[in-house]
Amino acid sequence: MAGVTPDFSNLKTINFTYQTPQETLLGTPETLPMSEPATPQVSYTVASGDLPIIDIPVESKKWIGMVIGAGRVVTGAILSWRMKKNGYSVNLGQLSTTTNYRYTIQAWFYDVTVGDVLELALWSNVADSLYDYKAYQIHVTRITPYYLKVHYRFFLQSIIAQPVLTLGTPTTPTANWYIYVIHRGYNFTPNGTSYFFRTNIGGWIWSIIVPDEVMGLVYTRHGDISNQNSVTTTTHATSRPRYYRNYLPSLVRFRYLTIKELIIG
Amino acid sequence: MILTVDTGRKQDLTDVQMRTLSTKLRTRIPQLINWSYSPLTGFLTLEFGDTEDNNLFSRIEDWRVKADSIKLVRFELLEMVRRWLE
Repeated sequence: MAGVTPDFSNLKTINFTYQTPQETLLGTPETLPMSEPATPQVSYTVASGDLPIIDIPVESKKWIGMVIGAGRVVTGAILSWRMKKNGYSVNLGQLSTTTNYRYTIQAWFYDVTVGDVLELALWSNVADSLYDYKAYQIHVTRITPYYLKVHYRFFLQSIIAQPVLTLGTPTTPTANWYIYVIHRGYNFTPNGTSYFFRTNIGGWIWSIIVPDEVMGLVYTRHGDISNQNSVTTTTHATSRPRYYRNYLPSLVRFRYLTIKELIIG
Repeated sequence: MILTVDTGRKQDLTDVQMRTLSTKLRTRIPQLINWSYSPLTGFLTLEFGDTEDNNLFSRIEDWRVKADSIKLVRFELLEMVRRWLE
């Protein structure tokens, strides 16, 4: 006689600690060039010490490099940017700004690794646009604690809004975090096989959940579901940087479940 | 409102090409605040600010029908995201 029995793991607790963003305010603002600069104003090389700390190993995750360049335009301008990763163009575009407004260009580099060089070049169509601030932080997304395991009572206990910068103000609302849920029959996407649970608070429990092969269990909005290898931009009369934030997981608890086949008798 | 379309072309643009594209976009779409383009994916993202403008969306849908090579990829309005998958 055969049967199955669930085998629960011990309680798994994962803490996520995010590094303090690196920020630089120039003592004297630089004037933006009127054509693309050969050397981007903003450049960071991803170091191991920049990565968030996850206190137990997880099967997979992706790192998002967030890079900010900001300043002020004296006269109304069209600002241009180019994101480069290891010297290659990743994204480019333009932003319209009003006289004497502050601007913030926030680049989201998806799937970065240690040693990657992340750059943001800025230029303007007028001669008096200024640049004076840059910042950088690494976020995490697409977290898969264990492949192909049923995660039992998956408890996303707390979340934290990042980045927290010493200058400027964040936009509201902070972007929700997302759980990827396989749910056949729910007609959200054209193939009707999945949807995204999203919220902006911690404390949610899923009785049974299995990581998606591509999306993992928990993922972020900026830099992943939106603005992947792209930018968010803002202009503001007084605030610089005016930046977007992600809710990121800070504490997760769960047990994983293994089904064992029993031969009885 | 943010709209992303697949141009079907993955081509890096120079500064001069960016200016040309910008002029064409802003001539045809005066409501445009900013735009971005990915040489990796060929996706062109158009941002119109936090306004709900069904007329604008209808116009874009009309362009999409007329231009066979343009595919809508995603549409964002506040927290709502709609995606068109392959």
